Amino acid sequence: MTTDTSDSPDDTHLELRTLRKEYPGGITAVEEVSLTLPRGELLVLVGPSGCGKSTTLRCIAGLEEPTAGDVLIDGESVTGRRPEERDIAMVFQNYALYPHKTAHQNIGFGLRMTTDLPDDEVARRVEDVAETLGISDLLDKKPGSLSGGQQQRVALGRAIVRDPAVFLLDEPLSNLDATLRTRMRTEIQQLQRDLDVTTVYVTHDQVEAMTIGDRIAVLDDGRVQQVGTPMTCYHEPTNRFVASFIGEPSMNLLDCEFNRVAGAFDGPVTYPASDELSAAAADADGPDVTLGFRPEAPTLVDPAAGRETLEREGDGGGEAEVGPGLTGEGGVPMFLGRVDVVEPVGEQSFVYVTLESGPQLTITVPGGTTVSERTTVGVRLPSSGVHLFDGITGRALHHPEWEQEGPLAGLTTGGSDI
Amino acid sequence: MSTADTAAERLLERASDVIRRLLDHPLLWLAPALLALAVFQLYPMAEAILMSLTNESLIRPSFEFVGLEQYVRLASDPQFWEMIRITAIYAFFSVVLHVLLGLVLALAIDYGVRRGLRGHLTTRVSVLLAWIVPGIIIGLVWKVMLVESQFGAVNHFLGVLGIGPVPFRSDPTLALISTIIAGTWRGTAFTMIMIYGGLQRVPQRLYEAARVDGAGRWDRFRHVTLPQLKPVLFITTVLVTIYALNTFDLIFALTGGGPGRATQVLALFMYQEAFQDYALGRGAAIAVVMLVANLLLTGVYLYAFDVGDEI
Amino acid sequence: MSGDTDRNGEPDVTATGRPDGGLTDVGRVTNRESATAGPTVLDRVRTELAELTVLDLAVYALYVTAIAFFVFPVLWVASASLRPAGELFSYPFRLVPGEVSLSAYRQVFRAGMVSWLFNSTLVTIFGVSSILAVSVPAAYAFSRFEFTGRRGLLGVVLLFQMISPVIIIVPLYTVMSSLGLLRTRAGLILLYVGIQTPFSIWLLKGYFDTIPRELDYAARIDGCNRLQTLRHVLLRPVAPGIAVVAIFNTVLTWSEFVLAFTVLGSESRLHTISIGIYKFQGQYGNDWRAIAAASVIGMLPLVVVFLGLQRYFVKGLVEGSLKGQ
Repeated sequence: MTTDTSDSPDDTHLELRTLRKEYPGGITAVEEVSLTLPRGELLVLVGPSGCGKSTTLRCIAGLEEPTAGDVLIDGESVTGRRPEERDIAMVFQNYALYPHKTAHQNIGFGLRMTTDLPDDEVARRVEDVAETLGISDLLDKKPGSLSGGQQQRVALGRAIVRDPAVFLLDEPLSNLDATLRTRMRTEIQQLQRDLDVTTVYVTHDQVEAMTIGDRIAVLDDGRVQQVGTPMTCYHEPTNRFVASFIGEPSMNLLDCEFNRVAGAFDGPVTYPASDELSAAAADADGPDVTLGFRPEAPTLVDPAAGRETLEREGDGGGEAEVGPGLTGEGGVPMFLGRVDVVEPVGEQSFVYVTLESGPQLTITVPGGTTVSERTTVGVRLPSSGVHLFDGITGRALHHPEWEQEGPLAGLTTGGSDI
Repeated sequence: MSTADTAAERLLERASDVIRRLLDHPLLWLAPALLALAVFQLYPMAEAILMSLTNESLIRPSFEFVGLEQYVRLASDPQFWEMIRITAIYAFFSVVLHVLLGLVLALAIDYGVRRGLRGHLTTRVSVLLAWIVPGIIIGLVWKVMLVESQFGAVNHFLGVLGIGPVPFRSDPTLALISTIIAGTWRGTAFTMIMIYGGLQRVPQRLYEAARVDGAGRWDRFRHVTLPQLKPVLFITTVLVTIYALNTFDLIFALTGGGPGRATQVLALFMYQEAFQDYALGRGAAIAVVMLVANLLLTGVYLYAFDVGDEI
Repeated sequence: MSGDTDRNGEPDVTATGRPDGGLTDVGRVTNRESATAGPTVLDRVRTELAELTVLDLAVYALYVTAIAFFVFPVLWVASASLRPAGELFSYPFRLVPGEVSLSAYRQVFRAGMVSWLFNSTLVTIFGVSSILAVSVPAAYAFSRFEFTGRRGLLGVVLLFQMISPVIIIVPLYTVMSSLGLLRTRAGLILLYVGIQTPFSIWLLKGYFDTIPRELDYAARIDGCNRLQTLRHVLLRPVAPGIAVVAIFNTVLTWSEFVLAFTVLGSESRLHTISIGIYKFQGQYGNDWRAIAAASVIGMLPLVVVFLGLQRYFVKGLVEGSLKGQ
C-alpha cells in the first residue's frame, strides 16, 4: 500500500460515497464521509467521541440508513439492504454476546438464522473457528462465566464464522484492561492478516489507531480530516486538528502572528522565521498562523549555555519581554522556561515546561536525562521541527522534512513516538 | 440470496418482505395496546365527561343535556362536601402511613440484609402476604378482627388490658380509623417493595464517599439515601395516593360506607349513585371530580418532588 | 435464572459485597441456621448477642411488630375458620383451636366455591397472558423504536395509569353493554387488558431499557428480523421483568372486585372469587366462621403461588427496572 492517495479503482472493495447521516431533531452525526478501501485493508476510523465514527460504521453495517450518500461493497450499492444481506460481520465494544446462549450457540446463531446449513455443519464450522481462536474448551460456557478476553474472542468468533467480506469492529478493545488490550490488538491484527478480510476498525484511541491500521482516517465533526498511513498522519497532518489529535503526547501548538517586516512569528514567543517558513506563512489566509512542533522536536539545554550565547551574539535582545527568541549555537532559537513536572515513562521522559512568556510545552527527552522539577532550562527548537498551520482555517501550510518509509530504516525513524 | 424461481416462492419472498417492513414500524407493535387503551380507557373517559353533562339514567330510556347542572347540584349538596372531607381524610392518612411505614420497613430490611440479622426475609414475606390478599377478603378479615365484642380478636386483647369493647365499626370516627388501618395493612407492602428496590439502586460508593466525608448515619440517610430515593418515592406516592383516593373494594366489604355515611368515600358514593340510584349522569359527574382530583394531585407531586426530568 | 446476574462481563455481583435482596438472603439464613447447629451453639449465640447494637435491637423489635401486625390477622382468620360452630367465641382466646372442624368449609363449597375458583383461575390465566401478549410488544416498541411523539405517547400511557378504573366504571358499563361484553368472561378479560396494560408496559420498558442495544444490533447482523430478535435474543434477558409483571397482574386480576362485580355481578354462574365471597357474606351475615373459611379459600391459591415465587418477584424488581424512567 502506498501513502494516502486513492488506489486503483478495480482494487476497491468497500467504498463510502459522500455519506451523510442526520437524526430527527436536526442532529447531524455524519456531515460527509467518503472513503475507499482496497481489498484486505485494515482502515481505522479514529476521532474524539461524537465525531461520527460509530455512526459511519453502523451505516456500513446496515444498522442505520444514511440520509444521503452511498455504501458500495465490491462496486455494488448495499444501501437499503438488510445487514445480513451485506456480507458483513461486526464486533461491538461490549461484545453484545447473547447472555443466555453458550459460546457455541453465540457463534453459530448467525449461521442458523441466515443459512440452511445442517446442524452438524454449523457445529463443525463453529468448532473450526473456536480452534482458530483457541477457545475450544469454552464453547459450552455462557458469556457470564467468561472473562473479558474470552468474551472478546467469542465475539470475534461470531463475526468470522460467517466468513464475511467486510469486517466491522466498533471499539473492540475498550472494555479490556491495558495488558490484555495490547495482546488482543496484536491478535486481531494477526487474524485480519490471516483472513485477508477488508476491515473497518473504529476507535477513539489514537495510539491503537496508529499501531493497528494500514491506514487511518481521522474524523472530526462528522467529516474526514485526513486519510493516510499512520506515519503520514503523524508527520504530515493536514490540519491543526489532526496534528493535535495524532501523537502522544500531543503536538505543541502556539498561536502567533506572522510579522513580515521583522521576519518573525509574534505570539507567546517570538520565533524567527526561516525562509521556508516565511514562504509557507505567506500562503495563509491572514497574518494569524499556528506554530506546531512535536514534543521530540526541541532539545533541552542548560540555560547558562544559552545566556552565554545570547551575550556573545547579542541578537534578539529587543524581544526579551515577550520571551526572548534567543539564538543558540548553530542559529537554533532557544527559549527559557521552568520545568513544572517530569513524567518518566521509561525509555523517555515527558517534561512539562512553562516558558517565561507563558505557554506550557511538552518536551520528550531520553529516559536517562536528569531534569529536575522547578529548575530553569533552555528549550532549543530548530526550525526543521516546526509545522505551520493557518491560524483561521487550521489548514497545514508547512511540514518539516521526514524520511519516507524506506526498507527497514523507515521503521526506525517512524517509530519514534511509541 | 438465491433468486426465487417459482411464482409461489416469489410471492413468499414478497410476503416476508412486507412482514419485515411492517415489523420495522412501531405501529404494529403498539397497535394492540393502543387499541385496548382507546376502547377501555380513553373512550370511557370521554364518555364520562359527556355523561356528566346529561341526566342519563339506567331506568329512563331517554336523556337530555343539562349542561353543568349535575355539578351545580353536587356543589350545593352538603353531603357531597362531607364525602370529599371523608375521602381526603382517608387518603391523607393512608398515604402518610403507607409511605412512612413502607420506608421504615424497607430501611429496616435493607439494614438487616447488610448486617446479617435474622428475620428480614420473614418480615418481607409477611408484609407481602398482606398485599396479595384480595381487597374484598381484607375487608372481611378486618371485619372479623374487629367484631365489636369480647370475641373480636382486637377487642379480645383490649379486654385483657381492661379496655373496651370498642365499637370499631359502629362509631363514625373509629370506623374511619379502622378503614385506614385496614388499607394500610394491605398497601404498605407495595410502598415497601418499591422503596426497597430503590434502596438497592443507591450506588454504594455514595455511602462510602459520605462516610469518608465524616457523615454519620443520619446524615447519610438525609443527604444520600433520601435524594437518591426521590424518583421512587415520587412514583410510589403518586400511585398510593391514586389508589387511596379511589379505594372501593376494601371499604365496600368492611363497612359498606357506614355507619351512616361515616366511611362513604367518593368512589363508594359514585357507585351508589350510578348503580343503586341509577343516576348515571350524577355518578359520572362525581367521577369527573375524582378524575380532576387525581390529575391535580399528580401535578402537585410532580411539582413538589421536582422530578419532571427524571420520569 | 441462569447467568443473568451480569450483563457487562462483571460476574458475580454478590462477591463484590453488594447485598442483593433476592436469592442470597435465603441462602444466608439457611447458612446461619446450619452453622448454629454445631456444638458451639451457646458460644455463637453469646458472641452474636454481644455484637448486637442498640439499632440492631430496635430493628429486631420492628421485625417482630411487623410480622405480628401483618400475619396475625391471616392466622386468626384461618384459626377462626377451623373452629367448630360453638368455639369461635370461646373464652379465653386461643389461636390454635381446641377442636378442628371443617364444617365451615363444607358450607362455603356448597355455596359455589368451586365455580368461583374455576372462574377466577380462568380469568386470571387468560387475563395475564393477554396482558403480557399486548404489553411486551408495546414495551419493546417504546424501548427500541425512535419515532416522533414517543415520549408523548409514553406519557399518555402513564397518565392512564394515574386514572383508577373506579372512575370510569359508569361509562365502562355502557361500553361493555354496547359491545355485548356484559356478563361474559371474555369481556372482563379484555377489560383487564385495557386497565392493567399501562403499568405493565411501563415496568417492562424499564427492563428492556437495561438491555444494551448492541444485542439488537448483533441479532440483526446475525440475520434476525425484529420479531426474531425479540424471541431469540431479548426475551430471555427480560424474563425476570416478565415474571414480575406476570406476578403483579396475577395478584391484581385474582383480587379485582369492582370491575368484575360490574361486568359479571348479575350472572352468578360466572362469579369470580371476590364477587362470590362478597355475595356470600351478604347472605350469611354474621356467620363469622363461614366468612373466615371463604376468605381462607379465596387467598390460599395466591398465597401458595406467591410464597413460591416471591423471591423471583423481589429479585426481579430489585435487579431490573423501577428505574423504568
